[in-house]
Amino acid sequence: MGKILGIDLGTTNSCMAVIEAGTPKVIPNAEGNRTTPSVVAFTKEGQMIVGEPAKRQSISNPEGTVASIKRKMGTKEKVRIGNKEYTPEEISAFILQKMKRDAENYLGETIKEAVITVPAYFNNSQREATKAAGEIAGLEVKRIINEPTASCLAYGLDKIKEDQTILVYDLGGGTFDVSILDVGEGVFEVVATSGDTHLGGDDWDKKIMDYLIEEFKKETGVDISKDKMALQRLKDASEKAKIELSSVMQTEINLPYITADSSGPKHLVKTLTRTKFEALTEDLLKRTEEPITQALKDAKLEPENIDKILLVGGATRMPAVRELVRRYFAKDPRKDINPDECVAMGAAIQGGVLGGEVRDILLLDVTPLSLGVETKGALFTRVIDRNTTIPCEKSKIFTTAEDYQTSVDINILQGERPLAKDNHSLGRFTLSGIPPAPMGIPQIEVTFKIDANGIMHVTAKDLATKKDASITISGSATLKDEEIEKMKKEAEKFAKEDEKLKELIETRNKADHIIHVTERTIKDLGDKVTEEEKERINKAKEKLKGVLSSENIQEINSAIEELNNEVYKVSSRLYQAKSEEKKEEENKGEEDKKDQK
Amino acid sequence: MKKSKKKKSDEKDKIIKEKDKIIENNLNQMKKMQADFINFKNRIEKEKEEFVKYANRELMLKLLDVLDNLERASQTEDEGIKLIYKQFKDILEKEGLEEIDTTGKFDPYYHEVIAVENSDCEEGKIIEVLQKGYLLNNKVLRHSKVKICKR
Repeated sequence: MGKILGIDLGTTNSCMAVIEAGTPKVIPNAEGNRTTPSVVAFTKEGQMIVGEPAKRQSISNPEGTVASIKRKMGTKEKVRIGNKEYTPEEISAFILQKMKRDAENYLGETIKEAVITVPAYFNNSQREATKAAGEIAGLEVKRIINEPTASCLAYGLDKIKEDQTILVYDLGGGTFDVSILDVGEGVFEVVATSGDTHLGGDDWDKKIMDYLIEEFKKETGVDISKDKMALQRLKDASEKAKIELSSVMQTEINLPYITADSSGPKHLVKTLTRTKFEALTEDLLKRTEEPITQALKDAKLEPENIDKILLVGGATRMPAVRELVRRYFAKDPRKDINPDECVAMGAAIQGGVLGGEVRDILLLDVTPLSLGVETKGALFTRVIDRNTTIPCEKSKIFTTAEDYQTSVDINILQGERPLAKDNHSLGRFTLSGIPPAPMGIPQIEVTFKIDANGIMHVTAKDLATKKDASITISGSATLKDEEIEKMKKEAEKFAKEDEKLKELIETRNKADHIIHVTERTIKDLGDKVTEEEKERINKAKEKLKGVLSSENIQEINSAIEELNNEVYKVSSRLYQAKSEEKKEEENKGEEDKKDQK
Repeated sequence: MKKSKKKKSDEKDKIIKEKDKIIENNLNQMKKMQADFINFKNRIEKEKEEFVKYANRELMLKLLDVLDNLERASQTEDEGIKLIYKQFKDILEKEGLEEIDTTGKFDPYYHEVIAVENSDCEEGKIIEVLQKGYLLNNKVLRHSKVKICKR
């Protein structure tokens, strides 16, 4: 059975998605873009073009170009092009056909079925027409769903247990819709809708354009509103400025050689601040407020009765829109899903449910924080990184920190901070019965295994004796959402200090190790080392021991180097002496040793 | 006695059937995931190739603004600017940039109509280029913005 295509058939733009490995994925069109303009055109030669190319020729061929056909769905009105007539269903079908074709090319498989979204206020004949359009395009329409419902699905609101009231604020390219839904136990009921069918992001661009034309006229006396080329550059620059102002506080509009007069070429250079932009577009924003009030009134609700607000449509990226919603409801709106793609993703999820592809068990979770164990010097060593999709399994090999250590204590930690004490301990256990050996020799494999339900098994195994010990940690022992957020924030806040502390501890660990190895080497070599050498090494060693507790990493490092130097001098002298005796054998032995490591 | 036994075995059959159904569902699910995964892997490979080829797109697109402005500036008398324009254009061309041809008729896959003119000319012919369009490695990076003839 093939995939079910989720299609957001919009007034200005359309978007499509499918379920892949249990999650929705937006499919780019043949031109490589994630949304397709809902424009169809017929050239004089009788060729039909859809999407971006159709939009690009619309000025030269207005009588052969059809845009915003969605506004006519469900009516008997026909579109006359040349001497042929098309129903709104047929025009929509051309758009759907292109999307179907592009999706098939992208996925490499045939698409036969689809879920298509419509505005919540669409009546029965409008829905029937949409369905018919799908059938004409060669798609079996498995279901027609409401756009706000699709948004709720994209946000996973079908999973909530208790009843909630959701408001969807959908500001698209050319239309604005407000819907209020009652959601509970996977049932969605639209209780009120309102909106403005001729208000969208394009109006915001237009405001910037008008402002720039006016300012330019004031400064230079030249009116560029009649110059087609200048206008086109202005239009592009205005849209770009609007988009930029969503993330920065000010942007520069830089259009050199925009025009020329007797005094020479003229450049348009203007800094636009977000504040100015918001002042220019205040009336537009205000116009989105009335439909909200209307919808609430129709639903007999107060702003505080709304549990969640979803922002849909590209224009909701504007901070002013978010601020308006926040102020109106005294609540933060949800905006984590790409607002251009939200509806199509919801349609794909509905398709996935119908096709049996999306089921609770398949909505895979991720580990919100890193998981690992405590290691020498009270450091936290990660085994599973955060955001790893579960179920998963990962192992790491550890060793002992001291000579003849016969047991290891495994402390399981969750968090992002480098020091063990700053992370959350999930549990601990001991693996004992390790045969006595010098430090660094035993190999302890620690395996973290998390199943789909979030239950974690941690096993420590001595690879020499195959002896193991383990612990099971249930999902409930892990942290709550707020605690996770808090820990993530703290990790960011202390990142720099933590890094330094970690480095210090690692340096101390290194020093410890070198002192230990030195002592062992001297002992092993016995009288091959002269008293004088021993004294020098001891001196360097004592010095290192002395600075071990210092906070100064550089100081410790230089003491390490000093000791290393002394040891190196001795070993190279001995090596030379030995190699003169039996050169080849020694070489071979040395290499073997390296391989083992 | 017999009846209750039969009832029991009926129940068992029912349970077995239910379990069979679950098994079948899970198997289908697994097959789908497997297929999804293989397709996904293949596509990622393809996208990786494309990515390497077109990784510069975003940067190149931004640089086109500078190229346009240098071109406009080079229309003036300044010799230095002319040289800089040429140098800059040469660099971009070595990276796969190519100007879109506008000598023929309008083609919506390469050009965008900004204006039309009704004069004594051949229908659909490009009369004026308002903004040059470019290809990057044979894929349209920016469409030519043109004025065409319409009678």
